[in-house]
Amino acid sequence: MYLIYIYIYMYVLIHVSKYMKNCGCPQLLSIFYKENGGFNFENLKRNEILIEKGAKLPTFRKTGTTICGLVCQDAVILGADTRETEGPIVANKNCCKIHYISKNIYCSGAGVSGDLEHTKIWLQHNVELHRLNTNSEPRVAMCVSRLTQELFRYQGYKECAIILGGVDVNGPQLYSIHPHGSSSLLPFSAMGSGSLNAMAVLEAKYRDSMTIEEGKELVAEAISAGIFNDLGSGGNVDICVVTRDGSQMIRPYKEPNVRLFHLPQPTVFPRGTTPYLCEKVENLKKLITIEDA
Amino acid sequence: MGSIFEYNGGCVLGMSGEGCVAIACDLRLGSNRFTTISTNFTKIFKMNDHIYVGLSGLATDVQTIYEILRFRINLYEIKNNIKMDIECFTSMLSTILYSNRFSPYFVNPIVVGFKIVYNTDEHGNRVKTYVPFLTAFDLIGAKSETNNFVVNGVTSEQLFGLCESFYISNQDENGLFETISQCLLSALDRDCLSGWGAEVLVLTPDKVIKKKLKTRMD
Repeated sequence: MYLIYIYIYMYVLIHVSKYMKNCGCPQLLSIFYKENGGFNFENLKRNEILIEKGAKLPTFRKTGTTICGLVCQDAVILGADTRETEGPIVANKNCCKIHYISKNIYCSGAGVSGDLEHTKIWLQHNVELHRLNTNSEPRVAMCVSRLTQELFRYQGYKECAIILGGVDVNGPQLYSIHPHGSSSLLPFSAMGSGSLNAMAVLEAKYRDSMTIEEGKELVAEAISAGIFNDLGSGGNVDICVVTRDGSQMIRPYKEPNVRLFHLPQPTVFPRGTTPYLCEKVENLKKLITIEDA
Repeated sequence: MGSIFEYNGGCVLGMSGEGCVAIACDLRLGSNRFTTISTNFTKIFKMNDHIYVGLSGLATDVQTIYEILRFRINLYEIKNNIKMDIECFTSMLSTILYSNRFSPYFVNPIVVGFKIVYNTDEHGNRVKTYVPFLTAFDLIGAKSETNNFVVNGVTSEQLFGLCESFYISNQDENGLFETISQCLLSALDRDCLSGWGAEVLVLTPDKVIKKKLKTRMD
């Protein structure tokens, strides 16, 4: 019974690909299959001509951020704010900037959102494959090497500034990685547009071998300094505590900017307020669907 | 010349309600900023029953990205014999846009639809729930998923302000339609580069209601 379905499926598949070859989209299919990763530069010439004619290249969404991290007894604590900006406008008031790399390694990033997201995904996949291949816990230094080599390849064009923290056999470690590919192993670090504000607090109050609770309070204070004093940072304080056994993501740890002044009654528009020219209703359920049990 | 997005103008907006989502766009196509060449250029495209994409920006790239997405989603559905999931689709769109990181397409997409979640109820039957799903992208594929509203286009600053004020969570379809329409109409009043007609689609798990709004034609 199932064999019949398999034959029908194969028949359809072969015919579809033959049809596609005959109808002139073999070029598109072959381009699609040749895409092995890497960047696509097909619009470069057109974009350069547009810029010569005077068009301005649009700004990318940045995470104009305050991120910081510190090392305490057997744990690394990472903190971040939650504002994502697009020029002067806030695109997202509550985005998550602390990302999972592996069970014992987390990173947080500042810079262009698109670059950060894809670099983080790339690192996650790389580290997971490495973990499966070697059957051992990934080490922080390994992640840092991979990241720095990748960012150096792009000579800083991938604008990601990353704070990577984790706990492995060598204890808790915190690295800060700059867009051109340099890294530093530090007891505490801050990056992003609010880094000066957060660094001031960290420099004043950091001590070696703090407990986790003291560490969380200090990170929250440093991020709050960034939120209140830097224009590119805002929203809530997110914290992640990474220990050897696992990690705890506290999102939000603090909400210093809850919206207070709401209208007592929300503006409800009664039905029929908006005039419309025509209406078309399409029912989806009238089509019969056969689903597997 | 000004910013590239102002060449054609246009905006898109999406909002979520209780068991429904809505997506809206204006219908203007401009040329060289101030000449209007069409008042019937929709920026909302249906990908499958539960995924709708709104593309604002340079019109040529809007059409190119739509064709690329249509190609990819059809190929996926033929090869895998399964309807594409909305999270898979947003990942795919993010990757397509990021692969052009250094030669970007000048589009700002939004993806609006339902995420299908399977659960088992107390009798052991498989139950399908439709969860509203909204994501906005910038032109190189940075995605931000929200649960209230998403805006993109030249009118985005006005739309952000209006949606912040008028958005009410968990509205039904009729309330959602009124709110999203009023936000869009008020924003279009204050922007020269968008307008000349507007279209709103309200999506529920079992039907799609498409309405063309009566707007000011200036």
